[in-house]
Amino acid sequence: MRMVPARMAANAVAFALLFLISTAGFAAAQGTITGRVTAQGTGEAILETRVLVVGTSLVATTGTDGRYTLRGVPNGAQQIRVLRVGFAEQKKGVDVAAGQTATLDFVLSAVVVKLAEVVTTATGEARRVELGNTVSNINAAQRTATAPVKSLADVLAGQAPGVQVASGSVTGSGARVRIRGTSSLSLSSDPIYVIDGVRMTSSTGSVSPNIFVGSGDGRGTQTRALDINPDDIENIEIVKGPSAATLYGTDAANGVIVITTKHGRGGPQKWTAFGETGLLKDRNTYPTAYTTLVKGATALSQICRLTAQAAGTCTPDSLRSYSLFTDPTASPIGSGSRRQGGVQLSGGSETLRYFSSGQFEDEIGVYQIPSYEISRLDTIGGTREEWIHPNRLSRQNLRANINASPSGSLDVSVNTGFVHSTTRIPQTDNNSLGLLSHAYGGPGFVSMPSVGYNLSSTGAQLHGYRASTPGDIFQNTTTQEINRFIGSTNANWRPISWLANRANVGIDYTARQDQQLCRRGTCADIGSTRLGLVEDDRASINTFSADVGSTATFAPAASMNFKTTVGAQYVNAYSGRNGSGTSNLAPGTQTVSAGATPFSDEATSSSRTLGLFIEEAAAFRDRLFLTAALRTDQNSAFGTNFQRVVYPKLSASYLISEESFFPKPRFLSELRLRAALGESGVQPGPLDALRFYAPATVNINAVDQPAVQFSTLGNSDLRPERAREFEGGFDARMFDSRVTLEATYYSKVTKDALISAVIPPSAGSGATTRRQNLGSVKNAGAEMSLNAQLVDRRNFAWSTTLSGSMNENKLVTLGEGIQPIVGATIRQVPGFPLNGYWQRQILSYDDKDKNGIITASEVVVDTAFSYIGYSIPRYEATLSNGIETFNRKVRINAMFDYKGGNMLLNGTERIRCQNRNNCRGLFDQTAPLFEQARVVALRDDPSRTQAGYMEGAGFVRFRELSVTADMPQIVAAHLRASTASITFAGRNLFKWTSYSGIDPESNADAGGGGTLSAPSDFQTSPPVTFYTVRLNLGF
Amino acid sequence: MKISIRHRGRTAAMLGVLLLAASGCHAISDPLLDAPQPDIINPNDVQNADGAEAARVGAIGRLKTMTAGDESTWIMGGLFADEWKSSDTFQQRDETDQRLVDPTNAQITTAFRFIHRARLSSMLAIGLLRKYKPAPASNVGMMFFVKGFAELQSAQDFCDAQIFSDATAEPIQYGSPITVAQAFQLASASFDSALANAGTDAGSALVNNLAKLGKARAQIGLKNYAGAATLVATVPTNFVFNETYLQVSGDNGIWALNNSVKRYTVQDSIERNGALAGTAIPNALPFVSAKDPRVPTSRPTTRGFDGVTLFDAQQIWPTRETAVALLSGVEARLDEAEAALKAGDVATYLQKLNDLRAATGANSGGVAGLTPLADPGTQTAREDLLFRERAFWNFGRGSRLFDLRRRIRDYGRATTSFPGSGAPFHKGGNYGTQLSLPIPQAELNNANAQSCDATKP
Repeated sequence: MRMVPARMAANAVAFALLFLISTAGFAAAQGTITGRVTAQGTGEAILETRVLVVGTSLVATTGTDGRYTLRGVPNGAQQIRVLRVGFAEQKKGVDVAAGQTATLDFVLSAVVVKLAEVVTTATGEARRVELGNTVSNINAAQRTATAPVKSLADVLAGQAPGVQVASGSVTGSGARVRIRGTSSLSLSSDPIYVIDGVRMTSSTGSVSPNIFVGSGDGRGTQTRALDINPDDIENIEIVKGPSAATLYGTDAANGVIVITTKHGRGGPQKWTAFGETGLLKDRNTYPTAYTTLVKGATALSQICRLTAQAAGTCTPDSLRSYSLFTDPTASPIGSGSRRQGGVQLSGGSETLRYFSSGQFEDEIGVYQIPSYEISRLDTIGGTREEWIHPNRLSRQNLRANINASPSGSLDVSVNTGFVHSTTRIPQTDNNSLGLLSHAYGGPGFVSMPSVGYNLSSTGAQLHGYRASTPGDIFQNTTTQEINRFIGSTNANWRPISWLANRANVGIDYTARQDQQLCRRGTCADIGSTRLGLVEDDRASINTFSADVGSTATFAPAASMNFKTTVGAQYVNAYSGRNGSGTSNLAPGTQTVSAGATPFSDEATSSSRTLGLFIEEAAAFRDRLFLTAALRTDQNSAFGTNFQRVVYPKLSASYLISEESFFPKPRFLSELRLRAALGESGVQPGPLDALRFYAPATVNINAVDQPAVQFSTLGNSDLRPERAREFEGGFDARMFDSRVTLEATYYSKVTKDALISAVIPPSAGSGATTRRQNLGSVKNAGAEMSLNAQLVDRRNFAWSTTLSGSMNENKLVTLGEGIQPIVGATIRQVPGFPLNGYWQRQILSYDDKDKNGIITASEVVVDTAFSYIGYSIPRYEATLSNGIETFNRKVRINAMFDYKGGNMLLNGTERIRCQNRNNCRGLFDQTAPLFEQARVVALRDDPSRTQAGYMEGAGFVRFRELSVTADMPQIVAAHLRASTASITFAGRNLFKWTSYSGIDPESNADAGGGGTLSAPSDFQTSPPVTFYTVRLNLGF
Repeated sequence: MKISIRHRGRTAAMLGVLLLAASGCHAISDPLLDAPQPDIINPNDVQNADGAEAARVGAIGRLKTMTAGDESTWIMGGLFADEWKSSDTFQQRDETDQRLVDPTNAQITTAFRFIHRARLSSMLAIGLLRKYKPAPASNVGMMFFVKGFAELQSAQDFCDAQIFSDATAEPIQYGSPITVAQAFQLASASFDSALANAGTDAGSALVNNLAKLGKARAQIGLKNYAGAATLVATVPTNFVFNETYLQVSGDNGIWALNNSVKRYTVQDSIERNGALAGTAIPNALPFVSAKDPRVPTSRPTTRGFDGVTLFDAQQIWPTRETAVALLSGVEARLDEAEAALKAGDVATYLQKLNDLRAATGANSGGVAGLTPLADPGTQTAREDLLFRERAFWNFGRGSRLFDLRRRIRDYGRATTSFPGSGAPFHKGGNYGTQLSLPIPQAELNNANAQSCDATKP
């Protein structure tokens, strides 16, 4: 520690002052308030009700008997407010005398629309009504109990307008979450995650780059956020943009997902348990392979295309077609299964509560070695379980949370979660070792030895596969093992009525082991793979975060309330990886030390952020709420010439319907107007600012020698991306609060956007780009959520939620002198959306000679590239319906999901037409003319274009259906339980789309991101359908 | 407003805490924000003799990458010409094979970068060696050779808006376009510097021979055939500078891309694929069907990477660790033969070529099984024979595109003499009309740069 004495003194003064403030007023006269909260009509005690003294930091929570106690309440008249989900908020006055106990009971009336009234903010908990921005709230506990969700991504999907979740399709693969569009050109557009008050590692693409061939292809990339057990989550809040996320600081510009895990509730010990079993079915329709060979062909390459037939340059043999996916002996896709079970325990007293859970999950994906391959492998040494079922996720979670309230002024909680998982993901997708590149790429017949197509280079029957068979491909075993601990300690100390101090300290530690193994003589024959290889990469990923703050409240008058919060936050993120491997394995071996050619590498990444913030919140007449805040950050990745960033925030919330002048119609229960303006940022990569050399090994005269090579130019002026967002909207409750409507408009402009500016090659640097703060990106859109209780009778209820959003994304500028960033199909061009599709357009096609075949002269392709469309959905909508019937003992939930306004590159069909020579448009004269035209435009026109394969990707999907039935008491008793329910659920049940590819949600880039990154249906796995049965027991 | 004053006091106190904490945090922020980055090398860490040596080795590594160590213009130029055929699924390789290269082509861009990385690495190493490790002197000469060879390769392959920048210090001095001829002159000057800095130590002979061969090629690019022959007269035929490989530090890139991954197959004059099977590719040399011992090939039953294109594997470098000759004395004799032909000395021309084809002898190229050539009788046929001999001797080593361009540029051949011209392409459409590789669009981020017409030689 290099602290100079003067600064140490300053620190001492600061903490002394804080102490004085904290303890001042201890001697002031105080009293106690106690009481009970019950439900109107039934008189039943309401537990978990928050009871607050307005204008102070004092808060209490009711126990199972509905009782609460507030100590240290200042003398005089006080206003007490109670908040509870599902009940109308209530406020009462009470006089408190020094040393006396006042009694104040509440009787709350139930409301039909159940919204959380308290939300978690960066400065602590706040009433929703006081916020100038919208915060989406997901009742995760309810969703996991009744909906077909198996991951955090499923919990989030379709639950909040403006939040798009693109899930991977393979068991154990990751997901990509985007909130209010894509904001960053070069950095991640992922939101950050906070769990129980501390930062959680959520990185996408969390797998060793050595393990899978290719960069992001060949498999579903893992996402660390999905390690979290959804059944452990009580609640999720989604802070959508900079206007709300300012105080979360640098990195929060893409939104914040705030997770609160389950906590114990006072009262008798309560056990719950569940068991689930399920089936995974692939109900997709896969493409058929077509082939027409030249008559008498002696090689598979001697194809006779329609264009050649029309030109008379070849004499065709008959058209052949075959789909290995519908051939039960050849298909690599079967049925998957999943099992899940868990136990939860909670209980405790008013002063000490506990929650504990344990859970296991085992899912086997749909990929399998087909029967014909098993027969072959049995003859050459047999099969292994990991080859037969190459895609499997096995996960165990443990959680223990303790909440203690040793005094009325102090709450302490300790939250611990541990997860162990083993994920086996085969190389399914786009790379030379990927299954689907072989399954989609074979000819339109099973075998034809006369043209050299029947055996792979390993001697296996190809049976319709391109060059390698599933058996060989699945012998390449790739596994990721995770051991992860997330622990946090939260303390809230209210030493005096007007001051609350909080501290959240925690660590998220992940030990990740990635392994790949090809035993000698196994795996697809690509390069020297069959000599055997093993790689073993071990990473430790560690995020430490500390968040401290103090809030002073003050009510100068009954109609005014002020709250001042200061705080500091520190995040230290580190990841280190050691990789080792070997090739040319000895027979029978599988360890790194067993090969003839060992190799190793390592990588380290470290980033640290220190932030300070202050917030002033004012409430006037409990209907106008104003907030102003500032946050300043320093970060280790900033350039040496840039020290600190400051983010401001302003917001207002106005319950205008409470005003006497407001012409309140009878149907309107409440109307709130809100607006917020704020800034946040995204920090650069840890090395982006630095100029450096990179190490290398160079062989000279057959001797390897150490070397250095100039790598990166660096940028000493580098600073974070800075996003400024305005959002405004209203919340309305109507028809006795049976209907709520939320509408929001937002406009987010990212300035100083980090551009990976292309370094002209002639400069000779190792790095091809240099991060510069040059760009500007705009996202603007609207979100709407309508929640209605259509029927609410004793025996029957029907509620519906319709939510939707639209987003308009535009790259405003790349910066002066920066050329558009150009990829093969995606470009970053000012004035157009980020990652938009660009190609030479097919201007027209016409079968002029009426021969039923489109040839090169009958297609007109533009010579210039032009914009085709968005690559991610612009519009999304979700319709959810919940019905409770049979005396509300049976609950049915159904969710339909729409996404649209975007294009998707049908890359699978493109490569089938361009290289695999097996698409219908190449050979089948009955194929629609457009299918033929896009082939010709792709292959024969001088302006070759993929535009014909960029298709509208809108769809409606019957996403979820669940039926939950409370079982009769006698059944529960038979199971030695007090309650029992059973849920039948299905996910991804049906889709409606005009997209001609396998599925518009087939997504090879679910976990990706980066400069030119878009979803890609390129030799990738489509979503599968889940059917599950879940039994819930309470004890 | 006594109450307000109280509140302001509390707020002020909170603010004071924040400011004082900020002051304190500023003091502790350095250690809190000091994130270690062990993966990188600080420029200060190479400012010493060891750093200079490591930079020298690094520059040679860059030279290997821009030649036979990766997907360089040796490979891409050969694909563009008639040495290789794409058996790949990537459009970038297919369009290079078809001579319809878009300036955004990622493979061409990368190959272009390889050239300039080698050049920058050599320039940085020259500065470090001179300052921290001046002996042996030939090391500096070798770095000038690397610089010259990078400039030479650019001139051989890319079109007529050559760019050379200087990023040895900030701000980067971006170059302006120069002609191909000027690029050959630039390379010649660098080779002159190599000769001037070759010293008299153990490495001097190597540098001298390399610089002479490099400069001779540049002079041929400038049509100074006699000068080139004079330069290489003292280079022995058996001289060779090999780039060596070990699996741990990196494979022979030609073997990796052809024999191992099968993204390229050896091209032949007769098409084997699709409906075109059996048809001739105009002007292409029969690198496979000639069965010339200088370009041995094998024909496995497997297809190329795309699973469709029939595959031929080269066997000049049959293993991942087979060394590749960057330059050799064979080229010296070829240069002399060309100079003789230009001078009208047919006998010397033919003698030089046949000496190389002899299995033994002082000027043998070291390949058995070649028979002596007869004089084809006409100047045009002699030129064709010369370029055919160069193509087989230098197969896969980065000079075929250079030769095809200068046949048109310097020997007056028609643009349609380029292999494939006017013919259907094996993956659909026809061969394009490009005769040189375009300057990549990425270079246009240099405000001085400009694109050039790749349909000109």
